Amino acid sequence: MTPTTLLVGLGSFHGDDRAGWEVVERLASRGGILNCTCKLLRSPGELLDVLEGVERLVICDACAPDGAAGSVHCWHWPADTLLCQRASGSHNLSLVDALRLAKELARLPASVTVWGVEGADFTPGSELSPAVRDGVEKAVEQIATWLARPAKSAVEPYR
Amino acid sequence: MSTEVSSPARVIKVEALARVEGEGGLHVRFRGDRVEEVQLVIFEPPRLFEAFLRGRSLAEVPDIVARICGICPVAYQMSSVHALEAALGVQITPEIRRLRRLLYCGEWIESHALHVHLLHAPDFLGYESGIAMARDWPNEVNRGLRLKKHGNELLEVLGGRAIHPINVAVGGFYRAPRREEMAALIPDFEWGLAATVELTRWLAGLEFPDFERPYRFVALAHPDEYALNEGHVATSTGESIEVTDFESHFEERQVPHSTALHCVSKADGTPYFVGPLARVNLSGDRLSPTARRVADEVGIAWPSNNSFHSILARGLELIHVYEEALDILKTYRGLARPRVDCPPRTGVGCAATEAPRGLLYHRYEVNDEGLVVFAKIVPPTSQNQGQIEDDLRNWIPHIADRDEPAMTRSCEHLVRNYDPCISCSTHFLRLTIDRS
Repeated sequence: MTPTTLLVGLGSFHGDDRAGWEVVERLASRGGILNCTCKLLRSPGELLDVLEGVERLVICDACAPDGAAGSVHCWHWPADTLLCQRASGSHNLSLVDALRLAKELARLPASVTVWGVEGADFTPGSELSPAVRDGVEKAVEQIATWLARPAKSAVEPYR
Repeated sequence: MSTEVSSPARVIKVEALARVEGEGGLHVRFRGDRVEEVQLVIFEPPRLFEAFLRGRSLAEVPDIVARICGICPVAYQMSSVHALEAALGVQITPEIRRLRRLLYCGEWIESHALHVHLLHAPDFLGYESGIAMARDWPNEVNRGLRLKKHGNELLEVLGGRAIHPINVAVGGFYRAPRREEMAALIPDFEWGLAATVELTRWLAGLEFPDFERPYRFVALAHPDEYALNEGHVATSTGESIEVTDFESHFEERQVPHSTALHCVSKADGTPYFVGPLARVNLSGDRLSPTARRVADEVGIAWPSNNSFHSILARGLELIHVYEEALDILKTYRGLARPRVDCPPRTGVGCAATEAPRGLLYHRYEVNDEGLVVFAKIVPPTSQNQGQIEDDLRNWIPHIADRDEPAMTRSCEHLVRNYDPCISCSTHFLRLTIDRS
């Protein structure tokens, strides 16, 4: 049975920070993902309000530049790479803090996967950079393939 | 505790004080129980909003100043529109005024609910964060998140979105919400009112350090209501100051260790205290009936000179804003005219409103083309910074026998009494304690 899946794009209108939104919008427009709801959020803290009844959470977000703009990364909670992230703000929860808080409050789904597209340019109001646009396409294909796997493997780490 | 001349000086340094908004640090140096130096070191670069505003259309001001803060954008919008309307000689309608109070209620709910539950309660209960606290206090943290969500939802309905609302205009609102949108919020706000009463009773059971000081509290006061959007500047030393005279009584000064200005009393250069505790102390009799009743039953003799009671003041204000918001939501019949005309003219206007963290003063000069010629913004945290340093100077002797991690936690606890918003005041905090 396909788990109730929530596909969340995290982002903003600022350059490559919109990568998460773009990935989810393209997956939603393709359709054919069983038992899946898509949401675009601006802030990780908003996740806490949308997790009721969700069995599998898939988060798409832009990640910080590390010399390979457009590269696609995938982490399964609680991956060490995620846990070592520092909070990005003071009054706003970072993604990792939002997931940690959801866990403490017993709201975290059994399966949480974070897909990241490495960004390059986060200039306010700018468009996606070409490398990240390619990265978005790659992420869409990889996530669609991963989600289409039989349910049991879909909640297992992506290889 | 005695101070020996030969005792070594100690330095406590907090590189990153968490659970405050913005970026800065705190450096404390003391010898024995004698404090030699306390500096709230704000290193976040100046943000220069006042200069950005020059030459811009006055219609753009509420949306630009909202960007000063993601926690209290409504406050910046409210002080700016009232000041600009004063400059233009525009009078808004009672209906618009009422909706502005409602918008402010939404922001106070967002800000206070977050601060009380996730930022400040962990200090009282001995947790390093709201996340750590959630394991043992899930119901309380869930309550905080639910209350904050109510504030967000109100801002979405009335302000167009939860962060940096886009519906505030000089003269009123761009769009009046529909009655059914507002009515749909009522059940949550009824739950919220009951929850904030429960919250404040819970807060009253926390352990409060015994730390009373002769503060000078400053807040807006209004004869007929708990001041949000207008009033005179009242002080705990008995003054009643017209907002137009604010700059005659208070001034911002530069200090070498901070990119934020410190605001002091002009007469004697002393700091003063703005925010929820100041408001409750000065206008507690104008809180809503339920808030007044709970204020009487929590076992505090108001007015309080203990800054640790600020968390209780936030609880009382949460009750107030839920009760007031409910009244406005239940009686809302729509707005035939959401905005009054604001023809440009040359003028100067100022206004003060009560941001969640305290009094927020704006002054603008505009020309006959409707452009901003001059802007001055005095945020609450600028006004409280000197008072925070003064508090720390007096608090450290009480805790000097503790080890450094305990001292650091205690200093941070005290700083968070003020819920400082460093982003507003310029604007992360690092604390260093020096016992060298």
